Amino acid sequence: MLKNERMRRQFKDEVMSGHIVRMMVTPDALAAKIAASEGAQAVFSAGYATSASALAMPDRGITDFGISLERCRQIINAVDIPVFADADTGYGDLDNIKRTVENYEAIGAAGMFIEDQVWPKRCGHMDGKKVEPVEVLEAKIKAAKAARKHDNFLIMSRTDARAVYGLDNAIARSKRYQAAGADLIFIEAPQSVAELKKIHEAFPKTPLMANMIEDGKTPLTRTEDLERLGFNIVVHPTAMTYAQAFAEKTLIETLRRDGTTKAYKNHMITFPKFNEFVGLDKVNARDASYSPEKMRAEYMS
Amino acid sequence: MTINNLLTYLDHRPETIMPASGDGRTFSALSKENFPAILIDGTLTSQNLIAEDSQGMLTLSEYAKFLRDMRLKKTGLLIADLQSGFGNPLNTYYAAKELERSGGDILLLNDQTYPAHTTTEPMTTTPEELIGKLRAAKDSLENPATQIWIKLEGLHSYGIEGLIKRIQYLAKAGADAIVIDHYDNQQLLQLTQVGLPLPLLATWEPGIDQIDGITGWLDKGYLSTVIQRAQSQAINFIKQGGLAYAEK
Repeated sequence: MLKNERMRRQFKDEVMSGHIVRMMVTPDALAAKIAASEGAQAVFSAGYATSASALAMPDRGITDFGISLERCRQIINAVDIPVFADADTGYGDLDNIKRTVENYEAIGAAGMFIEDQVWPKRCGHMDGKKVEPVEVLEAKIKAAKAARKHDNFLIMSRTDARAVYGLDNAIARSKRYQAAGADLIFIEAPQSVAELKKIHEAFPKTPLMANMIEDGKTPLTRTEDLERLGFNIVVHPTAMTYAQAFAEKTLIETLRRDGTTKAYKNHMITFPKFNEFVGLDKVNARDASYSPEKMRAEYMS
Repeated sequence: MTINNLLTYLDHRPETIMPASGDGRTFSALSKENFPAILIDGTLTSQNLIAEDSQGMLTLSEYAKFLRDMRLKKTGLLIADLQSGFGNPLNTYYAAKELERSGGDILLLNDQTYPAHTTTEPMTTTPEELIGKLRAAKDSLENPATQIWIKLEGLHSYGIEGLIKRIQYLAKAGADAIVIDHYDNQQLLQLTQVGLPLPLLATWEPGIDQIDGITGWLDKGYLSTVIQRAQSQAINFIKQGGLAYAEK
């Protein structure tokens, strides 16, 4: 089975298993490889981290489809676990939705979400969000379902209405999105454990995603507890970006203070370990395996 | 048109010319005509994307992005231009992987040195390095249906005998087909009379005599030439209009 199909099936099976899927948002391919090697079950290529790593900009609808697609593609090619895609609002109208779905499916994403914010959107935990009338995302979900070529390329609806109209409205919208064909439901930025419970009660049989953002609107909740609350995916959207930014800032402060990186070395991976992690030995071995001598002996005798 | 194996299809239709494209509009027009396969040619893509006439000016990532865009519009098979592998065999391994994941159904590897040039008498690499590139490309493939065709461009330097020897090595190393470029009719005729271990295709441009014994024909960019000619006429027309206005 080819990788794209294998990853779609794996993700769907995990999401439908009744156990929670631990999904890390990774800013780039290296971070994705690290997350995968440390036990993440899936990777999420998402807007906040991509805006930060690609443009050093906030998640405010500046990062476009092309940048997001390319980053997602690099991540997919670097790991052998499913990669889910953040497609923001779908980047335009229904024609754009079709193009977005076709592209994410073709590069091998396991699925994608689309949201009901007004473009240019904001990170779900920022203030000042606006949402479209419910019919807009309903139509986009129908268009996304019609555009996908594989049933196991999962479409998730995301609503940002909790911050604008309250939880009941967000749940009502999500029911409409589910009826329009959403395979998975994501209600962004609930504000308490009680709200998380209420979301599960509203969708007892539909896979749900919980977003655990540091300093966000939703209380940081342990993965096991989210599983008990009935959530099927937990995603950590900012942790790797913040850890990376903190580490790099501290490193540069150290270098500026000491004139050398010596004092920071214990916080770094070593030269040999890093080369091993990114597979230098394997690349060198492959390079050597196609030497002229070997080719001559094997194919020209 | 769904074709699993282009070579099998061509066995019954050896007169087929597979057109070349390097821009979206031409690709779209060709796709609507249900050609069994379209070559996304490196030179034409280079002219379209970066306004350069030589294929070697175009990098793998630039080409692969265009290939990915076109795969969403394809109706037949896509022949991807692997050029000379974008470096050594190691580069070829990663380039072939990238082009397969970007939608290439057939990867066309030429025997030029890196970087490849768009010229009638290109510099070609050693048989050893070419075989290394072929093996690397084969090792990188995920889909067993993906094929590697080798375009031999060095008749001017290694002659018919050198070419036949290369084909024998390449057959042993797992190539799926050979494409001959920069040939004359006499050389092509001569090759069809030798029992070769691989299907033999040839590049095509207007004036080429489509002789028997050739499995299929790969266009070198006829549409693009016609479009450029029409464009030159249109440019002259606009210039004349501007001059007439100035004279008034």
